[in-house]
Amino acid sequence: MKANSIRNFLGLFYLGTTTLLGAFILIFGESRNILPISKTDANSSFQIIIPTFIAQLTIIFRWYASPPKIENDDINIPRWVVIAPPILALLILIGTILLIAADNGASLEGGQIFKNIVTFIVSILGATTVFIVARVFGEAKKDVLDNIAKSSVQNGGGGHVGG
Amino acid sequence: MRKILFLLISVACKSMLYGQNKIPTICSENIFLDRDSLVLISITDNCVAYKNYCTNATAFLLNYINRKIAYNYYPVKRNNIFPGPPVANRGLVDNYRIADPSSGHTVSEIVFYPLTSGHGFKTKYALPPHWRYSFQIHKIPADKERLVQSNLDTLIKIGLYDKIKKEIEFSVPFLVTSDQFASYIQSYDLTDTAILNGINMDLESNIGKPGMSAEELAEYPKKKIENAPPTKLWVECYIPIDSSDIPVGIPERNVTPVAVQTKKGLYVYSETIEPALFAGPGLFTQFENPVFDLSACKNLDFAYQKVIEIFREEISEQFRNYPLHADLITGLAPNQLRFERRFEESNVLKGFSGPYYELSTYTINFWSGPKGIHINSGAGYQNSDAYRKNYRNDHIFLVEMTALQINVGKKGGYPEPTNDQYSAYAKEVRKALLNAVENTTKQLNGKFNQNTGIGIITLN
Repeated sequence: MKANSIRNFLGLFYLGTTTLLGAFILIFGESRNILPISKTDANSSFQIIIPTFIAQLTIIFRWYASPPKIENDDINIPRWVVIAPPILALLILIGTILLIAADNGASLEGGQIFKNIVTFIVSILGATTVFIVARVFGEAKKDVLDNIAKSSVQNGGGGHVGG
Repeated sequence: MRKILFLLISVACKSMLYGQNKIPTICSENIFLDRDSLVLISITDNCVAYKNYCTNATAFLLNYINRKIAYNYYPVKRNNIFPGPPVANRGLVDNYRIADPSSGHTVSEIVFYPLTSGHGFKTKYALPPHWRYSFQIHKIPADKERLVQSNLDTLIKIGLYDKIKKEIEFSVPFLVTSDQFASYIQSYDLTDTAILNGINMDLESNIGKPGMSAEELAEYPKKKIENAPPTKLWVECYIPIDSSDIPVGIPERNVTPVAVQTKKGLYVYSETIEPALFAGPGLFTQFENPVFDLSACKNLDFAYQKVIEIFREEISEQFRNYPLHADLITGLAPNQLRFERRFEESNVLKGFSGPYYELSTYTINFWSGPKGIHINSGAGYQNSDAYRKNYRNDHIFLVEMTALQINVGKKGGYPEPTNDQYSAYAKEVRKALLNAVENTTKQLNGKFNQNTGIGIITLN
């Protein structure tokens, strides 16, 4: 699978999920027929999901902000390893939201279920996709630092360069 | 211009005076001697300084005690014994190796509260759940101070006067040496700082004050009255006695305050019984009002029965209907109604947010009493029988208490509602009760006053 395709897929996944899910929880928390869970549970879910996702988004956008010159961009990773975890996580999340909305608080403990599911998908992504993100977006750091080091040497400066 | 200036100055002066003197002074005409015992009671209705208070219905502790002694309700055989007041120092008790055999209490300070219960027992003063005693002070007019003081001094010389039986709730054999207490009056010299510090109470009121400001909290419990240091405190004390009415233990450390002297004046305490609003989460009183005026009715008993009969029906109708939709709970006292709605969706909070489910109980108490009673305390509910003997109980009063918990969804924990949820319920309950009053009044061809919420009934 081309590394660029992986980056596009994961970038779109994290951007879409973080913004839409964050806005959905903030706007529709404690609302009838949409997200019938208490504000407390909605806030807890938001606090579970957002820091992890924002961290991934930061890594992704930092890479895109100064993309390295990469000659051979092929990465030997099976397609399912990249695509399956986010898609499954998304399906579970959407399914849960639909279930909670359909029940509308009548028989399920929606808040607890939503919190547990959010924790679950964060854990799944933490155990799977996070490593792919680190792999495909991690080179930016080295490249950027190399550039800084080079320009520093050319300018005759003596800045501290780590890495 | 002069007029406006005068008006402004007078308003400012009034507000300053009000700020300085929040404690009401009883009218001089309201204090007199009746058959050698002092009475604080209204003989005139035109008392200006005390116009917001009805002395008829104010339960002055001094009056209660005078009455108890005069009528000898629960006589004690030996009234020539004069125990001292309880000692506000646990260390002293421990040093002398005296355990507290009567109750096993570990209270080390003096607190203001009647002897309602102890370790494994309760007394006749015990209140139903979620009610509590509270005390307020009232200033004695300067010209009657000597009269009241001499009454208080006399009471100390009476000795033991009132027997209080223990109702044993569970047996604690090694602690029980007595099954009864006797009351007596004693005084504390509050110029002694050690004694004053041992009294862990606000001298103006025994109620722990919720919502106090930081300044108030720093001063609490308040040891001054109207900025004057107290000098003497008279209290009703309780001591365990044996079958021969001889004291067998140390006095209880909870005492009932009767009067307090400061460098500025003399004050007497009144007692009321009120809902303990902070007894549990979600419990609050949202309606308390006189609801019917029967003063124009010739046969009060008939009018009361008739009004209550229709009123009960109307209340039930209102609470059963939308939006409260609560079920009537049967088997309660005749002057009490209770409705419940458990784990059902709230109609009151219906809207885009939610869905809110409720756990609500509405308890309504009504009773008859004289006009001007301290409705805000609910005291009349407890004392209405006593008032009935002496006064024309031509008004019907009502107190409603709501226990409410709200959850989003049916399942899960039901937490305390938010302020706006409380307000929504308070509004609906008030509406339901006023509708019930109005409908009852209409059925009896009376006149409903929209401003006061009181139905004026004329049944002959």
